[in-house]
Amino acid sequence: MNLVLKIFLSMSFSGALLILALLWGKRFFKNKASRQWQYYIWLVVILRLLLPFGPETSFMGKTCQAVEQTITQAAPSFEMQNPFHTRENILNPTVSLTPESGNSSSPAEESATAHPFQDILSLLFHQTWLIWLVVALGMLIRKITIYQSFIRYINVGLIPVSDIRILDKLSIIADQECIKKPVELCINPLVSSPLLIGFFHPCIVLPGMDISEKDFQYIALHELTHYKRRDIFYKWLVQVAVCLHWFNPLVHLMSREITNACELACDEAVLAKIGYNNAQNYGKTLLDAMAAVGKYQENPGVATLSENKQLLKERLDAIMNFKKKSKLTRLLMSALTLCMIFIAAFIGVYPVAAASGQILEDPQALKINEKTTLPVQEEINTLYETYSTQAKQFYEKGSLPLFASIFPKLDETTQKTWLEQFYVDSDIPFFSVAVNGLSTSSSLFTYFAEKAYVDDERAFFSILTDCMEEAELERWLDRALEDENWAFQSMLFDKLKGENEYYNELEKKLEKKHENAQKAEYQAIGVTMDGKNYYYHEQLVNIFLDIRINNSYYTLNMNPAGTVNIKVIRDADDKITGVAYMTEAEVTELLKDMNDPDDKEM
Amino acid sequence: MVQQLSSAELEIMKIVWGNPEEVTLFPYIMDGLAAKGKPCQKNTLIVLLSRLINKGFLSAKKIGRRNEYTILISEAEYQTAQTKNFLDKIYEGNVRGLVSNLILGDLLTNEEYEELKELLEKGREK
Repeated sequence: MNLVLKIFLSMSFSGALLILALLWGKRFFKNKASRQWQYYIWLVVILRLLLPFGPETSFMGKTCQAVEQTITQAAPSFEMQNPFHTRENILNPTVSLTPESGNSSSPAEESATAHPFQDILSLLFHQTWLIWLVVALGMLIRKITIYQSFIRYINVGLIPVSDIRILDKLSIIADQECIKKPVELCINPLVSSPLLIGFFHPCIVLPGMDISEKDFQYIALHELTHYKRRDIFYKWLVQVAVCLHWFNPLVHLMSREITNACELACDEAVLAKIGYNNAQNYGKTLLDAMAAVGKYQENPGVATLSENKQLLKERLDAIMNFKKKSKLTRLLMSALTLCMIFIAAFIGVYPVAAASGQILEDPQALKINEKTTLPVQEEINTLYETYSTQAKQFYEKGSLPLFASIFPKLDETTQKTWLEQFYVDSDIPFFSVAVNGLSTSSSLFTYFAEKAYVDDERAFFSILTDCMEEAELERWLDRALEDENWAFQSMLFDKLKGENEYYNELEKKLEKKHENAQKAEYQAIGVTMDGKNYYYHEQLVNIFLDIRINNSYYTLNMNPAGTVNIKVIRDADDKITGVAYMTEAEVTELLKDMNDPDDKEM
Repeated sequence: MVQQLSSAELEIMKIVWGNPEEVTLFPYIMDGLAAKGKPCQKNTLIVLLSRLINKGFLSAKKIGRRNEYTILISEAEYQTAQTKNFLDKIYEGNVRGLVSNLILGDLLTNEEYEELKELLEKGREK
């Protein structure tokens, strides 16, 4: 599974734990702690959700490790019960991977594509992070466009307030609040309740100007407090977290909690300024403002005076019960904050640096570190052992996809042993799958390519070339050209073709040369060629057969008009020694082979 | 098109138009408003000035902490635009209607009438 996604899932999970803790704790501190605290404590959770940092040994790291080990160990038994079940693919990332797609000519590919259903599932699983990212981006873009269209909707009917008296009142309140930026004041009859828009150029929008002076003062104070505390930025930070953690229902719940806490905290701050004995008036202002709420439902990212009716009740309750918190409470809350931050840090995320995650991902990458950290080395060894046993099990069961997934995780010596075995057994499917699983830099490529080349094992060599880099292919082509090894030349040309025009031409030239050489060879033993027709002792040949040593390739020419059947005889060194008539039995055998339904391609 | 001004904005523009200097500074407007008996808060003036900038009447150049305001639409331009607007709205573009109303409504003094007549003659000679 993608490392980024792992980190994100762990962040989401640890964030969810914090959210649960806060929601549970809310019952106790709801009326004890200041609303301010209840609002800003969520910042700790937001940071946990957004920042992928954590101490090296964290709760999350340990959990992840344990979970992954269980998954890896549980894998085989799962596989036996229901090999292509969906659940297994979700639970078990390490096993469901199919070999990376190689060249279509390799036999292993055929067996892998034999289960398209599993293929699609594994592909989906592989690309989970992409789905996650696309949804997250989509949601963010949607939220931004909704916000923009809302702002546009507001801007259309915006009438600037030109009454200097009212503007002055606002200026005085802003001065008292130490707000340096000039604040615009506009009216838009389309908005249902007073709201504040603009990140950097604040603008208070009122539904109308027919409000009492006191109401105006409270509303202005409320909105300016939102501006002063940068609540819009906080809201958008929350929205970003919601988009990134869209799959986490608790994060959505948190977003709602924060919206409520934001208003409650703002009310508290306003009341602290206007004095608690004005609470009733302030509550009345809120109620009046609510009278027309609900015209435009979705208004994200703006700071309104009031957002919904359920919240209003809670706010009115709170307004009437606000009182200054005692020193003890405040001290307690500071302690609780520290505690929260500590927990957030301790829960941590999926450890990137601690590397325990990468062991499972790619043991070879870690071997570099083995000298420095002994415990890690031990861990790797046990891990390798687990993998070897698993590989053995999978091989014995003959499960290609499972073997393919486990093979890249083995260490090089074990990989070599396996490859040797497949080579000796001529087990082409497993060999192909294993080669596909080698890391590109593996020295085993050269080793087995050399072996196959010397042994003239064209099938194995072909599999190896599928995974070779172009430079490597060119090196082998040079060698094949030097050795005048026609069969390997043509195979390597096939691989390099398409990539380079130069090779196409070179191949054509060499083909011609090879044809001529062949012609000369046949001439020497008395067989003449005239286009497609072969003549032997002036007679048109019916069947012409020339099988190279170790069946590597052959020339077969049939001409129904011919009268004689001949075959070329070669010695152990592939040199032509002569030509002979084919016996009746040989001809029957040959024709029978050709009619064999299994060999349609001939 | 020249946009409409609110009364507060027009007050400010009159002060800026009345300034003989090329550029107008913030304290000059502030003092001007106070002299007219319509003092306002600093932030209010900033808001109003930024509205005037948005409407294309002024341009602001920030030099250090000091804002220099330059006129983009002259008083005459604004008056012409406003008159045309008024003419279209009330008299449907009929100038004779406006002038006859001015004369019949005793809105013109005799001196003003003579002056205007002279202006008309001059314009015809040209």
